[in-house]
Amino acid sequence: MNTTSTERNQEIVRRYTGQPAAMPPEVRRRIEDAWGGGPVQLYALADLDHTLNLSQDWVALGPEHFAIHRLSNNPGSEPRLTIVRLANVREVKEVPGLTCTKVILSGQPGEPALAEFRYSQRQSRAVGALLYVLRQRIEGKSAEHDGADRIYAEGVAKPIREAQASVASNRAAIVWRLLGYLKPYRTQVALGMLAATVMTVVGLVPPYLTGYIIDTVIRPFQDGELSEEAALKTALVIIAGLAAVFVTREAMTWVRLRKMAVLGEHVARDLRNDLYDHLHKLSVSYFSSKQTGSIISRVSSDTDRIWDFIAFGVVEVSLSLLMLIGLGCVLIYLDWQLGLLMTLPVPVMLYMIYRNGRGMQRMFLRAWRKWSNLTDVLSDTIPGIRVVKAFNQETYEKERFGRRNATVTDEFFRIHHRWTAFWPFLLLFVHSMTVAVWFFALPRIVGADPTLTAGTFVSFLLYLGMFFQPIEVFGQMSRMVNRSISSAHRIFEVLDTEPDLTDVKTPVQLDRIEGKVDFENVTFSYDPVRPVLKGISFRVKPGEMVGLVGPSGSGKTTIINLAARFYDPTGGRIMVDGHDLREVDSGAYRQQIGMVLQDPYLFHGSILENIRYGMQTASIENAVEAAQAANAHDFICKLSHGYDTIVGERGHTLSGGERQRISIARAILHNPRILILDEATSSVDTETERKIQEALDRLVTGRTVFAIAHRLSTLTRASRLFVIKEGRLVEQGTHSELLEKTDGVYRKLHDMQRELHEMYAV
Amino acid sequence: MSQQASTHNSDAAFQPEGLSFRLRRDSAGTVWLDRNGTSTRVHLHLCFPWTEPQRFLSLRDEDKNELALIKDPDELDADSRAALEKLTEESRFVFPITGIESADPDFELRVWKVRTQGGPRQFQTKLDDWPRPLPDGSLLLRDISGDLYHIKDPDALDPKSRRILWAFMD
Repeated sequence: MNTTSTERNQEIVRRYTGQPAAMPPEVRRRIEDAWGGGPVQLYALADLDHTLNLSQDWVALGPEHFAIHRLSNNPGSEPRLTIVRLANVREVKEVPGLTCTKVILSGQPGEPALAEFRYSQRQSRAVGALLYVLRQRIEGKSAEHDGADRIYAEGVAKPIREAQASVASNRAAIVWRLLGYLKPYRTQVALGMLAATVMTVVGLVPPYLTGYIIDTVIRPFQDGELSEEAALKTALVIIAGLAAVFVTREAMTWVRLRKMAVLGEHVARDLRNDLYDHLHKLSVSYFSSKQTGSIISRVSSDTDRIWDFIAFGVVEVSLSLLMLIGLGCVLIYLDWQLGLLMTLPVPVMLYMIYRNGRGMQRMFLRAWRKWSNLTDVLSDTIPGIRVVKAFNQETYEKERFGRRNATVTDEFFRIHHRWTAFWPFLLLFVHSMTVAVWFFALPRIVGADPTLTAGTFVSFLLYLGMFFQPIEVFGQMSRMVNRSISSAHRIFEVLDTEPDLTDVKTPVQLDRIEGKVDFENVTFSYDPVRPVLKGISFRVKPGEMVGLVGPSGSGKTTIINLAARFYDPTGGRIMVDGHDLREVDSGAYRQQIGMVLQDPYLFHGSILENIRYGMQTASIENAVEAAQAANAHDFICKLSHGYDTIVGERGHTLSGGERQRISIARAILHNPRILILDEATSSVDTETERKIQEALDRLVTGRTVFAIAHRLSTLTRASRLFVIKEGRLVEQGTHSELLEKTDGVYRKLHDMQRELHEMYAV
Repeated sequence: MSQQASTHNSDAAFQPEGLSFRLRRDSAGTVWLDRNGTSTRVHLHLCFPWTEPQRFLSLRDEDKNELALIKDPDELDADSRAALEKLTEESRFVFPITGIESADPDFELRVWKVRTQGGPRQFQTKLDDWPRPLPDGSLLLRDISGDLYHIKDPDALDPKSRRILWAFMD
């Protein structure tokens, strides 16, 4: 993680927690002065005091000391400092509660605690990192770490970042960036906006012409000031003008809708492509930290909302604004008094719509919460319907659903009552404007000295009817625009995520590797402090099969993830055929890696497509040979559609053993130089295991193989076994060599499994 | 000392042995369970933190093995009860909310600005994480870090807080 990401984390800490983004320099200086040498190496905020009130106490770790910096309760008083020499600390104890965790540093047994402090869950990662290093030092072990500010900010910001992603952006910046996607389509945008503008401006003409025809044709004709011939002639010209206006208006509407709708699709397509391309560049760790549904919705529904925004949001909002301004100008131009009478209440109406929107939002929020209560019942009972029936709880569940359904309905009733009352009220307001126009206009029309013509008055009335539409659009669009901005934010968050793992500028091309793999003092950690692998070194010869054994969480899977270059080591290096893995082209390298995992993943498609997934150009003959070698051909041919059988999203139509054999066939056809087997035979019955084992025996021949298995008996073919414990390679050798170590880890694991086997056998 | 709390050892959980024990708190603030001449440092786990917060208190050792299940602290002697009280104070602590300034959505999160008995606090929940109604009519909120916030009596809050909370209450 670089400085930029630390700054981003600090911005998140500042913006979302209200606590300092880093230890204040004066606190750091005071602590360093007090312990007399050495920098603050790690720190965290202890945000609860001994009375469980919120506080801003700091805890810090130096090379030889631990310190607590407490602000005094008396304003103006000096902060209190507790300094503890690490050499005096015997034990660090944490007492976790629902929200508060107390930490006690103890010295000799029976003596009072050396120091204690309290923190809330928000600080748990930063405090946890500090305590981990502290405990390591007490045990006389070294613990590497890098960057106190980075570790603190990352620890506090992590839950927010995971829940929300990179958040240090504002709405205007997001809209601006989104509009940047219109750049390649400048011409279409210009045409669409021009058409929309013409459509709007032309839309203002018919009311004017209506008033004009009344004042210049109808009324002069009725007053005898204009002959019938002249009146008809003028009227025809005006009617032709009206027709031209309507044709132009609809033509422009067509151009605008077509251009902007297509444009929206272009932008949505571009975003989807960018997003999907970028997802493939991201490392495995990104997908581990995000929910699959969240990623999928960004590519699908979020881009769809962007279409809405481009196709309608941008245009409708800008046109409504244009329309309101245009109407105001025309009305004031026609008659400034009536114009002001009509335009001045517009801000009031907009405010009323805004207030109503806020109220509706609260109601929708409440209804949404109750709706999710209702759907909770469904997601509980439908998958668990057998349990419901087995315990005869149908009546209880029906009543539970009925109660929640009733409360949801009540909320919707409340919403309907509100909006059905609001819009007539707003219309009444608009109508009152109409009445006001009549009230003020009529004396000016029928008075002794008329100052307003009938035509102008009719124009006003028609314009009045047009006022309502843009105001309504503002009310409707605000929600849509907000949702689109949120979607854009979610999309940009993915696009802004830097891949953890990138190739060097001119990577080494390993066209065909021999399969010699060297781990040279490899360390690795998923977080900045706690290493998962601690200085692992071994050499695997080309074509050799090694088994990785050890307790759960010992680091076996991390080793194979590093061997496949899903991650880069944080220390040491991994050499393949003498080349540092960080220097090689990762794509070309992974082409020569095969994996058979505990839960084999089959894509939606035919069995043949799944077998050929790693080598799409393989012939059918080769695919069948691979299936035969994988003991899969027989059961495939028994299926009514044979190799053309479509398997479900995760191959649910096949048993676990069948899916595993298809994945082995896929690996055989792929013909990898390095093969990784991760618990490939677990969770299957004995007969299936035998078939899979046979298939694996054929698969491993002539390749470098890393195999993980909890059942040690499945590693009998391995030429060597590496025993991993707590991130270290603690033993290695053949099965019989390792059994000779009576106090060895492998021997204990082996004896334990044998005892279990005998127990169950009895 | 005679008390009725059931006690277990780690291998025989749920099988009361009927052994007596005492609780004491040392100068370092650690609470110990003394039984049959041996002392074990204990942690407290609340079995029903919200429905029965005062009862069914599980005392566990460093490895989280249950050593005793206290069904009712009143059955303990006074010293043990005092030691237990100290233990429970911090275990039970959640932020008590006394007022709500705002609860506004902000890109997939709801940002709460609240007043607690210990001072003002800002926290976030996911948009579809709702306050949990408790049996006594109070409300419990859990933020994205795992911190808990308790509103003991929502109806007793000031009008602004009640208005904000309205959407989150039944």
